Amino acid sequence: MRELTYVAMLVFVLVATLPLELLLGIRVYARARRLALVLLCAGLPFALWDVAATRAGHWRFDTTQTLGVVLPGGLPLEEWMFFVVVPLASVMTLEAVRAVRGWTVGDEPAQDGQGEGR
Amino acid sequence: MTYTAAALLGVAVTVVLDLVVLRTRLLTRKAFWASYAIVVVFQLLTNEWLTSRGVVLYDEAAIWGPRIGHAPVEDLLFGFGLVVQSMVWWVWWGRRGVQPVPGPGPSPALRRLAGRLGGGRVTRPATRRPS
Repeated sequence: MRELTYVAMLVFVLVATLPLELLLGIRVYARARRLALVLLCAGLPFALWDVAATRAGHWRFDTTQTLGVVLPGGLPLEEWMFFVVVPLASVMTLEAVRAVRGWTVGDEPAQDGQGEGR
Repeated sequence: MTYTAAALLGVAVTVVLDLVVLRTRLLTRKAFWASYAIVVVFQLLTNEWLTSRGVVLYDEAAIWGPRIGHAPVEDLLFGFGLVVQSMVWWVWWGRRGVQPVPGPGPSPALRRLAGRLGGGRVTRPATRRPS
């Protein structure tokens, strides 16, 4: 069970946020291309920071608490997945707040409907 | 560079990215701060899970010292940067026309329930699909 310690946290976040997609209809998973660009522009730079910090010795991982798969950069699989799961959960929360409260986030189409589509 | 310096730099880069470079100005919006208030609770919980069990171990020489639970305060800044930049890029790509159409929002039944519980305005306008 010990090797599931890290992955359990990731699964918890995915399970906790899934109802937002299913019940609130926020369509984040459904907008996979836009999500992929977020992972590239935001997730990847922070993952590279992580790689650099690990190399510099700022922190290290107890691999006995991971599944044991080490990916490029010397990070456990779970640590790379962290940079998928956290951006995903962040965007889902923002969309959920918008869906429930009706507050704008800055990407809304113009009032006359121009700019909508795709 | 220590983790402390890197974390402070990360926050500065994040703020400049939002306000100056991409001009998404998410940090000036109510929707962001409400979202961050939710995310930060989960961030502290998950950080505590990983640091209290020693899944991640820190070099004392690279960190300032104060900890929130078992996690160095720097982790809060790292998380802030990652969370904000994720949201900022989501908004930016949406503005650029990449899959911008928002979801339909809560189902009518859920909307009524939320209205009753929160007493708030659950007035998400219905979005039109291009015809």
